[in-house]
Amino acid sequence: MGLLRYAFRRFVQIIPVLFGIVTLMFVMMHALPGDPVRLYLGTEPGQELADDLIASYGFDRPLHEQYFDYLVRLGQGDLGQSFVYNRPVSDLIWERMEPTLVVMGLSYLVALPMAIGLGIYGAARHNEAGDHASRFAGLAGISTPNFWLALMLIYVVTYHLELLPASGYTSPFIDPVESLTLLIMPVITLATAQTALLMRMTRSSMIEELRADYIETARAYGIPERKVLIRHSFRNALLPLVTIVGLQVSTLLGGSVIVEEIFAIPGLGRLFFDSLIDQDYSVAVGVTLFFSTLFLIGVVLTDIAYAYIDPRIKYD
Amino acid sequence: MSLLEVEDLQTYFFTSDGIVRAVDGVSFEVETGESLGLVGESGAGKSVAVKSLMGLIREPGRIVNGSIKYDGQELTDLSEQELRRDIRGNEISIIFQDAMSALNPVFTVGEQIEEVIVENTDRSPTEARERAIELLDDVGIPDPAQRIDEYPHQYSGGMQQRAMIAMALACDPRLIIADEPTTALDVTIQAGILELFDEIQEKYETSMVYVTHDLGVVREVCDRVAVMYLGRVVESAPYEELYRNPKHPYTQSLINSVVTPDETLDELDPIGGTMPSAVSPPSGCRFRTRCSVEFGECSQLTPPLYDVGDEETHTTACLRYDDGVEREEPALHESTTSEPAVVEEQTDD
Repeated sequence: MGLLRYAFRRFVQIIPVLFGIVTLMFVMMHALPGDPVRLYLGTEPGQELADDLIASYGFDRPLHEQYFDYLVRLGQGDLGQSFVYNRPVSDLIWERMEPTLVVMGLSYLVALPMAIGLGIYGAARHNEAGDHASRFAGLAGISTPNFWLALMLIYVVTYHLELLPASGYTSPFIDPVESLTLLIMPVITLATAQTALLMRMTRSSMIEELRADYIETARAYGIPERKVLIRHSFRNALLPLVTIVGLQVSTLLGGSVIVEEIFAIPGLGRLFFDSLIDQDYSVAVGVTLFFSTLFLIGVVLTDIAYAYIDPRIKYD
Repeated sequence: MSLLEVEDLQTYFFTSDGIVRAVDGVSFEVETGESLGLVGESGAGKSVAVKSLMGLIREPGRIVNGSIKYDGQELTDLSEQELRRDIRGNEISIIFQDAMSALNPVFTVGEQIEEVIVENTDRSPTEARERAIELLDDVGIPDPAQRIDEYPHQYSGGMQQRAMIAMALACDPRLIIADEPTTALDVTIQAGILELFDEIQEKYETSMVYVTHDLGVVREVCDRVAVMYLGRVVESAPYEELYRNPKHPYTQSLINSVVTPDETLDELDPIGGTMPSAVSPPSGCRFRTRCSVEFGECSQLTPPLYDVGDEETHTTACLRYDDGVEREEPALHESTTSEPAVVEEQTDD
């Protein structure tokens, strides 16, 4: 009971945050120098045509009117119209959602088990050779910029080894095999930094937990070392890890912009990037809103997971 | 035969600041059914000594020398695997000072006790649960069938320690080590726990090593006392004998430092100075730097435990008793003929 009420309250609390984000994004987009209509029409547009277009999108009205108008429509679930694509923003987001979520989801699926496995291994072999090696690899992983890694992967795997295609996207629900060959490099790109960071978090968190008194208790009572590691320490070490996993949603979203651009994946990251270049106001605000919602849900789920993992935390 | 015989145990910690000789030649015995109090100030090496018994010393610490015979079996020869399977939990169990942090916060009290039972015995999980409820009842947890499913933080401090004791009893060990189990508790709760120790010792007929810095606590639960100072046992005797007739200057000071309600602070005679570092302990007798009756030989000879007094079981490590009778100053040549004192070899301070 407590959990449901707690979850409901936390989700309600997201709304004012999203309102702030929309306002900020709206103002910032309109504050950008340049004129989207001019950008769209090119260098020599007819003045009449431009005026028509401006009027049809309401860009000639005072900014506060446009803003309130946008809010009212947003309240009705309408994210507005893209003037570049001349289609509803919600349709665009819906179409572009799958590739982004697939790449992100797979990255987590790869990064989490690897990070946790290596992290626990490092903690169990604290200060031995294996620990040093995994720590060094982790440092390298964190320090590698993902755009550089993406380009190097294309250069080596596609150009020299001719193993995998460099760009494009096929839905795994349509052609799983082709989809996988296209997804390998983007996922490696996104998962490398994730794995490295989460691995180091797991390791340090585990090392701290292994010093706890209740670990000595478990060992003093003949609990096998494997269970001491997995059951007794890891459950406690999960807390800081879960926090990071939740917050990493934002990093992944940021990374997806770069990765989708480089590997030509028609996802939300690319849609967002293009909307900024074209100053396609409603698309930029709409995608931001979508990303923010995703991130905030991640944060709320983190808090709920917290209370689930640690019985000392109460839902109130 | 004694249940536990510890002889010349040395546990050192190899740190970057030097070798910490936390336990440096400790010997004691525990008879079956007996309760031995291990008394001394903080840093005397009591905890390290008892943790050594179960092989719980971790890097950078190590047992460097000595013998631990449990029921005739040499524990220092056992592998980590064998210790875990045959000794820890089922033969020897330990109760730690701070039950709050010694219990895992993310598992219920029941889960933790049941896990110990399942790991160490043939009992099924269902049987383990029944046994755990029984145990909680035995240690005075009210409503054990309900409270078994609560988490440690839902227990009071005294109840957490009771749960810890239940865990210690879970697999019917023959020896229970209690490492300052009441130090973190209020006096009123402490009294209840001490009573519980008396009860369980009677009911379960276990032997016990009770580590404490509190001589008053020792009286409640212990038959015999070994006093430790800076990694060594300096005196050992049955409780009454030790209290009435302390021989070692350290024991005497320790007894004089105990605050009793009918004493004023002026009557107390605390021990001057602080305990030297275990990295570079004084040569010879380690207490000599704080001793009021020190004489020349104390810095050269390491006193072994001499039999003293009328009681056979009363021993003390002070050169003034080198032939069993107290005197002002021993003659060095005499001591070498009767019972030879160990000539100090360490000169690294």
